[in-house]
Parts: sequence; C-alpha cells; structure tokens
Amino acid sequence: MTAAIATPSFFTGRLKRPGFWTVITALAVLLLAVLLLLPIANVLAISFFDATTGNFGLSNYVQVLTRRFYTAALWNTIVIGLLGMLGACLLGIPLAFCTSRYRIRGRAVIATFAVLVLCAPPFIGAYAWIMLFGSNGAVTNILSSIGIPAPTIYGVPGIVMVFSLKFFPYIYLMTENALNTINKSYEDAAENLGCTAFQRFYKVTLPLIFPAVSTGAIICFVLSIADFGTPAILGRGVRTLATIAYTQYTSEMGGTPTMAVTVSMLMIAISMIALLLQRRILSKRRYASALTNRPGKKAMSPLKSILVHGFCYLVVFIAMLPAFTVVYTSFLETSGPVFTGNFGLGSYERILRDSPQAIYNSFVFALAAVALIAVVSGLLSFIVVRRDNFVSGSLDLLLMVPYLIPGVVMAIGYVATFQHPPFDMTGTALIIILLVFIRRLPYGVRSTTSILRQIKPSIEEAAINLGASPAKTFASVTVPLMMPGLIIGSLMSFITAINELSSTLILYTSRTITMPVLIYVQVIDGEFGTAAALSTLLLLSTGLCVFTVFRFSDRKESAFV
Amino acid sequence: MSAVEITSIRKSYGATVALSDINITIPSGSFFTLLGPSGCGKTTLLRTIAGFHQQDSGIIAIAKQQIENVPAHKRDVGMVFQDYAVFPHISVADNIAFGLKQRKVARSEIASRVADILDIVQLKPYAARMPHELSGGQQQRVGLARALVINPQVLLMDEPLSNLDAKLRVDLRRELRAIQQSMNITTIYVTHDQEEALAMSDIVCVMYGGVIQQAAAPWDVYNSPANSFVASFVGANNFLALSIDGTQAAIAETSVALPQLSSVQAGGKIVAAVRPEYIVVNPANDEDDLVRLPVKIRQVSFTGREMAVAATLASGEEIEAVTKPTSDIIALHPNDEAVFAFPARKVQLFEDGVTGARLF
Repeated sequence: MTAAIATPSFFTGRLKRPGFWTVITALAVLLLAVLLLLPIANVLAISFFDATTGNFGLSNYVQVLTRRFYTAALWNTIVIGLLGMLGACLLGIPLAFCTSRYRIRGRAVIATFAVLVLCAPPFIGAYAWIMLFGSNGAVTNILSSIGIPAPTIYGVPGIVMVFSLKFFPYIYLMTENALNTINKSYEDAAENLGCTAFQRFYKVTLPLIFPAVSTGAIICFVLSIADFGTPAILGRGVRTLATIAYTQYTSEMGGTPTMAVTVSMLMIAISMIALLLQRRILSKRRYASALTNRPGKKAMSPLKSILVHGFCYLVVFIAMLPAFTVVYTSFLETSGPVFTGNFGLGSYERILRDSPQAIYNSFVFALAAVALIAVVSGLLSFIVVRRDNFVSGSLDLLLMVPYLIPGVVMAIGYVATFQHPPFDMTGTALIIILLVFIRRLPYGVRSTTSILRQIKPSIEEAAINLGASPAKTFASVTVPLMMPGLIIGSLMSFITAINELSSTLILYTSRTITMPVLIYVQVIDGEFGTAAALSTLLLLSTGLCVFTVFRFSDRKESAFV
Repeated sequence: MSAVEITSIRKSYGATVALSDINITIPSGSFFTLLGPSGCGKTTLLRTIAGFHQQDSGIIAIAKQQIENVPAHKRDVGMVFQDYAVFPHISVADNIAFGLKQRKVARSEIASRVADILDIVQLKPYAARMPHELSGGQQQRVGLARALVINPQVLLMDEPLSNLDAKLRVDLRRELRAIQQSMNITTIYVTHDQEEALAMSDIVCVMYGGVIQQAAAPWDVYNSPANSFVASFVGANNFLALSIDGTQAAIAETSVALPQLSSVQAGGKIVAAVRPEYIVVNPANDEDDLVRLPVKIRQVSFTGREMAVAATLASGEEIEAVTKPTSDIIALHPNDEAVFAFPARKVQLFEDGVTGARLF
C-alpha cells in the first residue's frame, strides 16, 4: 500500500529548510550571547586576574572580602538593601490593605502617585531631599531659624528613607493586586470555621498574598543594592558596593578595571542569592484559584475613615514630595548656584541654550532602544511562550539576567568587550543604545509575554491551517493581537530607558551625554536650578508615558510592576 | 477521492505513549469520529493529521499523497477548533476570506465564495460584524465556514460543539451533519460525547490508551463492542462477575443458564455484560427465558423519559436498570427487595480486564 502512495515533489531529494522560528530562535540566541552573556563573561574573567600581578586566581576576591574598605561597603550595601526593603514593606503593605479592603476616596489618585514615584528617576529623590533637608535645605533652614535641629538626611538613614519612599510602590501595587484577586471564599471559609478577623488575616490572607509581597520585596532589595545615584549623592562617606565600583572604575580609567569588576561580581552574587532564596521559598507556595468571589470593600466609621485616609495620602504625598520640590525649584530664578527667590523660566532657558545635546540624545537613545526592544520582545516572547523546548526555556531564564546585573557592571562589561577593533564601539551612541536595549529588554518581553499567554494558540493554528506560513501568521495574526502589550511594553521600557543613569554614566562622552547624566553632574556641582529643569522635563515625559499606559491598559497601575 | 490512510503512526511524549501504532483507513466522503475519554490520544491523532504535532514515525496519506512531513500550512486540510479560534481582530467576512487570500484566489471569486458559504452556514446578515458581536454558536459557524470555503480535501473538527449549551449542541449537530453530507467532504471529528458520536457518524472509532479499540458503524459499536472498554464507554453497561463451575454458571451466587457459554473457550475469568435497558424490574412470573437475579434497591431516580433503578446484588456488585416510569417502579424504596431480570441472549461475555476481548 505504501508503495502506491506518491511522495509530494517538493519534499524529495532536498533537505528540509530550517523553519522561520528556528532561524529566529538562532538569531535570538546569538543576540543575547553577544550583547548579554559575552560582556558578563568578560567582567567575570577580569575579576579572576590579580589587580597588580595579573596572576590567575581568587586574590581579588580575597582582597574584597578581607580589606576593611570593601567589607565596610559590603556591610553597608546589605544593611541598606535590607532596611530599604523593610521600609518599603512597612509603607506598602498597610497602604495596599487600606486601599483594597476599605472604600478610599480618590484611590485612583493614590495609585497614580504610586506609579509616578515608581517611574521617576531615583536620583531625583536623593537630591530633592537634599534641597529640603540637606545642610542648606529649605526645611533645615526653617527649623534651625526657630531653634530646632533638623534630622540629618545624609548617610545610611537618609539613603534608607529615600529607598523606602522610592520603592514602596512595588510592594504596594503587587500586594494590592494580590489582595484584590484573592478569592473571598477563602476568607469567608476561615470566618465560617471560627476565625476572628485578626486570625483570618494572619492565617489565611497573609499566606495567600505572601508570594506577591515577597516578589515585591525582592525587587526592592535588588534595586536598593544596585542603585548608584542615591548613595552617591547622599552618602557623605558612606560607601556602598555600587559607588565603590563606579569610583574604582573611574580611578582605574585606562587600566583594567579589576577591582571595580570584582566588587560588581559581589553585587551580582548578593542579588542572585536573594532571588534564589525567594524562588526557593515560593516554589512550595503556588496558589491558583478561580476568581469567582471577588473581595468587597468595607465602609468605615468616621474616625477610622479619617485615620485611614490620612495615612494613605500622607504616604503618597511624602513620596511625591521630591517630584513636587523639583518641579517647584525648576521655576525659581538662580544667580549662579544661588536661588534668588524669584520665579522665572531662567533654568529652562539655560538648559535649552547650554545642553540641547543632552535632551536630544536622551530622546533619540531611548526611542532607538525602545524600537529595538519592541521588535525583539515581540519575537522573543513568541519563542518563549509558544515554542516548548530547551532553548526557549533557557531564553526565558536568560531574560531574568538583566534584572540582576547592576547597570554599572553591564557598562563595565560593555567597555571591556566592545573596545577592540573592528567592534570598537566605545564612545559611540550605539554602545549606549545597545546597553539600554539589553538592560530594558526584559520589561518589553514581560509585557508581550503576558499578553501572548492570553492569546489562544488555536488562533494561530487556524491561520496556519488556512495556509498562512509561520512568518505570515505571526505578522498578520499574532502581532495585531499582541499590539496592546507591545505598546505598553514599549512605553514601560521608554520610561526606564530615558531615566537610565548608572550604566550611561560610565559610557558617556561629551557627545553622548544624556539628561540623567547631566543632572547627576550638575547636582554634584551644586547646579540645582538647571538640574531641576532637566528633571522636570524627565518627569514630564515619564508622566506622559504613564498616562498613555493607563489609557491602553485595562490592568492600569498593576501593569507597572 | 480523498480517503485518508494512516499507517503505523506512533507518537510519545517522553515516557508517555500518546499514539501507539495507529492504522486506519478513512473512506472518502465519510464522517469519521474519534471517540474516547480525555487523554486517549484522539486529539493528538487529529492534530498530527493537521500537522500541529510531528509523529515519531508512520505515514499519513490523503488521496494517496503522503503528507506526514508537509508543514502544517501546506496541508490541504480544514480545521474547526473547540474554542472557535475566530480571528478577533478582523470581521466575519475577512475571517472566512483568510484562507482564500492565502491561496491567492481572485478577489471577485473570494467575494462570491464567501457569500455562498455564508449562505450555507446561515450567517449572511453577519458578514460585516466583528467576532465579539457574535454568540458562541455563531462564532463556531464562522469557524466552520472558514474551514469549508477553501474546499479542503479533509475537514478536521476538534470537539467543535463542546463549548456550546446542550440545546444548541443538538441543533448544530444536525446542521453540521447535513452540510457534511451535502458537500460530501471526508470529515474527521473528535468528541468525548458518545451520543454525539453515535448520532453523527458513519464510522465511530473508539480510542483508549493511544490505541484504536474499535472502528465500526455506530450500530455495530453499540451492539457488537469489540471489547469491554468499548462496551462500557459507548452507552451504559452492567458488568457482572461470572463464576463457572463445569457447565454451571452463576452470577452473584445465583445460577444462571447462559447457552452462549458453550461456544466460549473457557480460559481465564469471564465477565458478563448486560445493558440497563434490557433489564426488567420485577417481571411477571410467566415470562420465560429470563435470567432472574434477586437485588436490594439502592436508589430510584426519575429522569423524565425513563426511570433509573440502581440496586445491589447479593455479592455486593452494583447493577442498574433503565425502564419506563410505571407506578410500580416509582413506588420502590431503598432497601426494598426486588428481582432484576433480562433475556439470556442479551448477555455479552468478555475476558476480564479494562480492554478484555468480547467472547460472545
């Protein structure tokens, strides 16, 4: 019978051509290998060659783990990371509980503020707090004029406060989302089985939201230890691993940045340990539930209402204070570094006159990176979601890496990797664009991945079945259906791309300077007026993106975490 | 001529065998149904024919053309999906035209063919609508029209009615069968609903554990099941242990006269099967030739057209009868003593085991 069956002509005598997705997967692997793994491998390699003798070994690590200069920084980093995380939890969890369980007037305002805080560049917070509570700050001066010594903003307490206020939205938004999606029947069941309100909270509700809380907490921790701008501005002698890596790098300029790199490796190790720890804890706690019974919101007695509203608004107001301060300051007239006390647009005139290049660069670099991210994340998420094989699984895992690698480290890796002809890209715009692209790619992929998981594969199979090739199916069916996720992902990556500081600070030249770098330089120089004007511009573009995401996303603020 | 010939198809996922040496020929123009419980391999086989799964080995041929290594988008098979899979971002007419555009059919011809098929599936007024404006049943009509309009050699349907409510399911079932017959298109249909399979098919192919248990006309599958799996999965059945001592057979310690036993080679254990509809509850004493079993009533439930009477034999085995709802039967209560009886010739004999072969 088999012999009677004719073999179709296009299959005979020719090797099967690799399919569209096989080619794309190969390209994706190549891309990530060159732009992500190679720089990291280079950084790792450098750390194993002794700084002075050049011998292979662990001598650099021995130094970093024994010399007081480094161990103190390591200790500071861990303390700051943990305290920042704790502070963010203490603000975020109660806030989430209030807004999800009680009727809060203006909940949208609170959520919007939280998202704005999340998206604003972190170093803006640091220097705005200096303008308020610094040695010559507005609040400090007022307090001292009536004889009260103001609490210091410098050092560990200041850094922890800024981190708590900066990162609590992660905890808040994730916890609130979890609280809103708990099946109320669990809580009802607990009550029915005899739990008091408090028992119900800590025996049922809290364990159920634990995965969300811990995910938020781990983000806060990783961001806290990686953040460079805040400890650099507020540190005043308190060094963290991030600031050491940067200063060591700049002082080793020209030579091999061995010690900077070794310190960086330590930072990555801490982040990874934290992440693995959290994964391990979470692996035993997976709760899926059908959302049949949504939790409701309770009304409150007048006194309780005042207290709860007061708490909620106070938290977001204090967190927004740096942004308000920056915008206010940008409209003050300055004479040199001194504020004259009059209002005016002088700072804006100066930035448009002196630094149009930085503004232009910021937008061009961010847009170019985002265009790359949009294309690559669309293709990558298809591979990750739809192709069930070893490579796609590894790609998914690989995309976690940029979250863990501090910007300073990636930048050092890029310089170490792409400084030799014919791939010498140092000092070019391209190296900044590629770095921002790889660092922010996971944001885009996460957004497109989550929407692709909601698109039923049968829709694509239908197109294939009707004769569309895999490439055609992707273009004509998948991409249009993925568009909302693609747009949100692009906007989110744009927000993080335009605010990028820690990596660009190492890569920039006078031709490729960006707004965050310029703000940092001006703050260090005490040029608060123009820094405020530039920061306002950044805040404005960020705010516009946030607004657009709100318009496009039905998940609203939870799209940001 | 678009017969489908499947030869030695195998497919496994790691250690799990999804399809184990499938051999079947589906005659041109027939309505062929793959029936089985979830995980039996029916959907895997359908998707392998569509090209969404790559078989480990074996041959699939449509109209004598081998297609098992042809990419899915180049196989000329139409598919209707369980979740409709209607493209949500384009209109009904554009959905239906999708496959024709892929085939570079002239614009004027596309318009007329789309119009024709819209007529057949009774969706003419909905051509310009977007899918989300349609009900589930209407969306599935779009799915059907979209698959049919390309005039595929074979139509594949993956539980197309299972997401619809019961009433609509029966209506659409009839309509689907009528369209299939009028177009005379070879159709492979996957379902786990035995009533649907019996009502629609020319051939019902019962699958279990990645193996075809029986492929035959609905009547034969029901009345002459190849093995005890088919006998239990298609329609309801009572399986009763048969103890044999020489020429004497007994069910639950009641000796029964089963003439068919003489034609069976007594090997291992034998199980007797009798369908609930053949069982008479408390028969009149003058009825001869009946196997009579004393039972204790467990539950009597009224389902509208009939009564289901569940009872327990002396051995503890459970047995169910389905009868007309008469006042005598409605009057039965749990724990009442009763007699279940059935004609000896209605008893089928199987080897013991999930897929024990039918001996008689």
